[in-house]
Amino acid sequence: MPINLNPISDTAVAVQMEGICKSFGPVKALDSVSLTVEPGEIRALVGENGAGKTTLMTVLYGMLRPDRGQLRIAGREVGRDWSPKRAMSAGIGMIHQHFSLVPNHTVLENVLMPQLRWTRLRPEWARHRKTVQGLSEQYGFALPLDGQVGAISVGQQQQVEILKMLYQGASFLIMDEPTAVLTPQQTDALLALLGRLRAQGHTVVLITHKLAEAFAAADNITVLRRGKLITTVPCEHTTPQAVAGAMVERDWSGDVDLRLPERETSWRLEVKDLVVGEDHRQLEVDGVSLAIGPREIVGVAGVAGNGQTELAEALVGLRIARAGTVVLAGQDLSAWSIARRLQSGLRYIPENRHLNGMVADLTLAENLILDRSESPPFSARGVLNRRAMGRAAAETIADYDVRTPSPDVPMSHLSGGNQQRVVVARALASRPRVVIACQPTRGLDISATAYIRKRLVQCASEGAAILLFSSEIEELIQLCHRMLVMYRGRVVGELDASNFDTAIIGLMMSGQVAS
Amino acid sequence: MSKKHPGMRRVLAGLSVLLVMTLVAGCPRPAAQPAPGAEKDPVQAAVIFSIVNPARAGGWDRADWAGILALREEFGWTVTVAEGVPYGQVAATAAGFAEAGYDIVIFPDAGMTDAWHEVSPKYPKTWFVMMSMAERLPDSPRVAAWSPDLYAYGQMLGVAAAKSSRTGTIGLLGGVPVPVIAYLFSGAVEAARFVRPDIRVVTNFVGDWVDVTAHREITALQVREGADVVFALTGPGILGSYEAAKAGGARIIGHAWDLHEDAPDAILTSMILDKPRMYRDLARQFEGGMLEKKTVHVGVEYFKLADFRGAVPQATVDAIDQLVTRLRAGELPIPRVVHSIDDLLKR
Amino acid sequence: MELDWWLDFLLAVLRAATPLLFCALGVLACERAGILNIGVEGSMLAGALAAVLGAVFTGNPWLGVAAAILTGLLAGLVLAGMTVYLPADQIATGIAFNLVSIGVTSFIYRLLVEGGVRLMAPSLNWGQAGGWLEPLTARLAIIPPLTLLALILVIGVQVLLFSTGPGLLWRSVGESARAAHAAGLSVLRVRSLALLGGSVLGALGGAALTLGWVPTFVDNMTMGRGFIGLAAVYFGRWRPDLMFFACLLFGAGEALAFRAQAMGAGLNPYYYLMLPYVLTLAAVAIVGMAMGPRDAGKPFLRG
Repeated sequence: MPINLNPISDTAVAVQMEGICKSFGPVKALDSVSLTVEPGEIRALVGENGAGKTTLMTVLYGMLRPDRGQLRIAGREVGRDWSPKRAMSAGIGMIHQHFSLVPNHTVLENVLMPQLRWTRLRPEWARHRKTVQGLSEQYGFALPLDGQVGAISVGQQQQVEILKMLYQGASFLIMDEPTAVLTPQQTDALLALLGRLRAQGHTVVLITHKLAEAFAAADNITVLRRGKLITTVPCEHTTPQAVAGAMVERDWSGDVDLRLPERETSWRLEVKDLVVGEDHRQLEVDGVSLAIGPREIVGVAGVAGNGQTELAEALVGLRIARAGTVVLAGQDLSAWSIARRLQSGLRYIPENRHLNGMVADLTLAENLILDRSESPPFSARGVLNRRAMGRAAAETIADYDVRTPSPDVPMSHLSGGNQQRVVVARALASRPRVVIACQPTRGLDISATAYIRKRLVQCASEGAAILLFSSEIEELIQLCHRMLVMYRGRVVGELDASNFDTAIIGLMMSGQVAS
Repeated sequence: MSKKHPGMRRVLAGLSVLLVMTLVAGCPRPAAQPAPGAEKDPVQAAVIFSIVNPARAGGWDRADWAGILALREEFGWTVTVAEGVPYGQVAATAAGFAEAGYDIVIFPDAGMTDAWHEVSPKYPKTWFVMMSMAERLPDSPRVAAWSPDLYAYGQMLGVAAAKSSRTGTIGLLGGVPVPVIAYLFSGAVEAARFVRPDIRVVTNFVGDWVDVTAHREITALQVREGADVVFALTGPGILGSYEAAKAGGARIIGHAWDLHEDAPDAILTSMILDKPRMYRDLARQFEGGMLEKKTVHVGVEYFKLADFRGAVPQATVDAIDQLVTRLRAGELPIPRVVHSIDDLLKR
Repeated sequence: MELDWWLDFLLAVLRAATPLLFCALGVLACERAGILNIGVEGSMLAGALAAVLGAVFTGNPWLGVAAAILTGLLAGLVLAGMTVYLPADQIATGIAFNLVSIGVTSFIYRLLVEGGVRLMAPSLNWGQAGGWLEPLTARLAIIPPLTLLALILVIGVQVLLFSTGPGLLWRSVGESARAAHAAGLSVLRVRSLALLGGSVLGALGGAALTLGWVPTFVDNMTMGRGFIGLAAVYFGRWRPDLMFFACLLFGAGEALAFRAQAMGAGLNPYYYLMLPYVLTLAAVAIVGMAMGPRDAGKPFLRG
């Protein structure tokens, strides 16, 4: 069994990719990309959404077969039977954005699983356990080997993934957006771990769109744009501004003007002691109170799964609250239907646009008026007014710079960023009074992100009260007047724009400080 | 393997279309109009069964099947058979036949009584005939019933069972506990006690007509209780009863039709109901223009025991024959007591 | 009750439980690999007919069992092609397969019956196993062969699933096809093999129903036993050992239903006959929201 406790540089592999092309239908996802990664380096792979970062790495890992191009591992060209299995035995491991773990199995079982063979009835459990334990300690993981993976934190799950790769003898690790699910502290720990891995002679490719992380951890940065490799530069010879410039096509002038409007002193939305959850279980929202005024943006921070989603859904009416009141401009809407809440000016940008935000098979124009399809001008006596819909769609496409061949293509044909523009456009149309915005820029590239942030601020300055749920601390710091931090269903801290501090917010997110 | 297998799907879709086309092609077309100058139109009759494959189902259905064959072969009638019609659909099916211009619709099963009453008033031009026990006629001009006296049928059977038992215990096994079977079993219980006062009768119901394993288990339990002769009035599930009888050294009395060929080593005899004769009566009366609204009481002359084929000593056969002859002549003063299902089940 | 009664009752329980055990194992094997084997009822019915035909035409009930196994393989191939490779919805496919199975078996049965074939097969017992086995079979005579096979399989699957390396791989495919795929396992192949095995087990359940109980065939003779096996898997929380007890419980319900009536308590017979079904319902209700393998029922699409 190929278990290598201390892989050193000479086992680490050099990877050369030459002229890799890959198309999905008419879209060129990779356009003759050549990339060389030396053993023992940390390489950041940056680029906007759809730039081809993940596609390139899945080609390297054998999950996708390129249309053209060569792949050389340790100097030898790989055959047509290149597969994740082959990649793994060549020492290349990939950790995807969504973990490939079995939640109901223990940590040890998850780490061992790829090593087991159908032909071997009785593996040496005891020896495996000892080796895994040793490896885990070597990298400073504190993992309960017999604990269920579903019960440990996301950060620990990521460690299990890394351990699994290392235990299979991987010396070349590809990590796809590894920090997307982590708290700031966990992110720091991960970046430190990458350093330790390099010290052991491992090679790491870090796929990310967060330049700060790329600069904090990587030796070299490779920029991809629209399927083409733009440049590879050593970190010390460049700046985040230069890299960002290389990532986007147009001239892009750093921060958009995001001057926050002066907030008013009255309250638009008041929430008191809201409780969501079922008996016998940990409550999802455990007595949350908050208030937002007109022209105000209030942020909600927290590690995913601490009640933010449930809180948002309870406010919109997707979930029934067990207790508490929600008052919109003096009216208690706790018992109202979703439709009535919408009519009274409450708008929602769902966290998961595919699940709650759009109907993929309907057209852009239809999606745009989903929540207003029964009211004029879009329908009269139950019949849709296609012309009015077309006008509204054309306006939105122009206003929000949606890239689409026509308003009548199905939403599923649009890229993620353009879909999100439509979802946001729908929520912000027709002068909303309150906007519940959940992860409005998640997974979007820099220009789309900037545009949507600008729109949110504009909406607030036109008088709306906005509750912004985001996992990007920077986004909250940039956009909000005040910030609430949620932990285990409670608001554990509230900060004013004057004393936003990433470190304090991070600690609050892990439940360690209650202000 | 590609992600979606469009080729495989296309092949499957093509196969489905082909299959449907063959089905459509195989559909029976409406009977061709007789050519002008043909001597006379054959009578169009329809028979509705709740079970499938009546030709091979329980004895009751097989007796009906023989009646249908008689209509076809001896009288030249065109007989359409609807099989596997759930009781709830019987009325609609019968209405369909009436709409299509059939002359006679036949219900072979007392379970269809409700449908008979429901559908016949709506089609006064069509004859609706019940070939089973009927208490009263529907409110329609063209209805008739050949209603067997199942109590008398039970009496004859009770005599045979009690006399052929060596252990002194006989079993009565019904499929579904319906009142008609209770009525029949009551006759059997009373007759058995009359000819053999010390007889013990164990009665059970399986709960359905078809579950062979359940039939096997319940028959085996009756055998364990000492029954060496079991009368089984049920559907295809009777195969399980044969199995249990063979394993336990007991014998089964079949119902309505001579079931000997089913299981030669498990069948003692069969209590035959001459259903073909009932069908012939119907055909003669219809063709002679004598069919009228009435209930024909089908009595002992339609009942007889099948050959024992040496399953019991000749002396026993003779004794049974003698008793049956007296029964036919009305010389056996057997009390007419109707037991409820619950009473029958008590040991 | 005298000892005799209890022995008789126990044997009746085993008789009723054996087909359920095979079906339940067939369902469990598939669910542990992430496939909902709703089609087990159809496999069972096809196996029941094949077993009877094999035994009738060869005169040897053991060859009937072999015929059932072959039929199970065939059913498994069809189901695997539909639900693993196409992949069509597992529940819809299973239900359709069950309906087709009723139609096809009834059709074949009728063809044979009209052709004059009498479907009374010899029962399966140790006697036909062959002379050299006799010292062994004499001792085993009280436990029917297929019941013994079912017991061995239950123990075997339990050990295989929870104490061996392949068992962990097997469970991983059912829990997270992604993780298994990432670990280099061929999810499609594992699932196909599980369906083959599950369908063979279902067909063996049919053989146990016919050759091990009443060696004949009638239309739709399984009468939902495959679904009771399914309930036993849920009640047994996807563990062979607990599933075994669930099958015994359902078998006992069935055996008791007949006996309670024969003891003549004088209640309406339907009261007893609904006992096994009420037990099934109660069992499933008691278990409540049991979590099965997470990926069971979800088709796996590569890429």
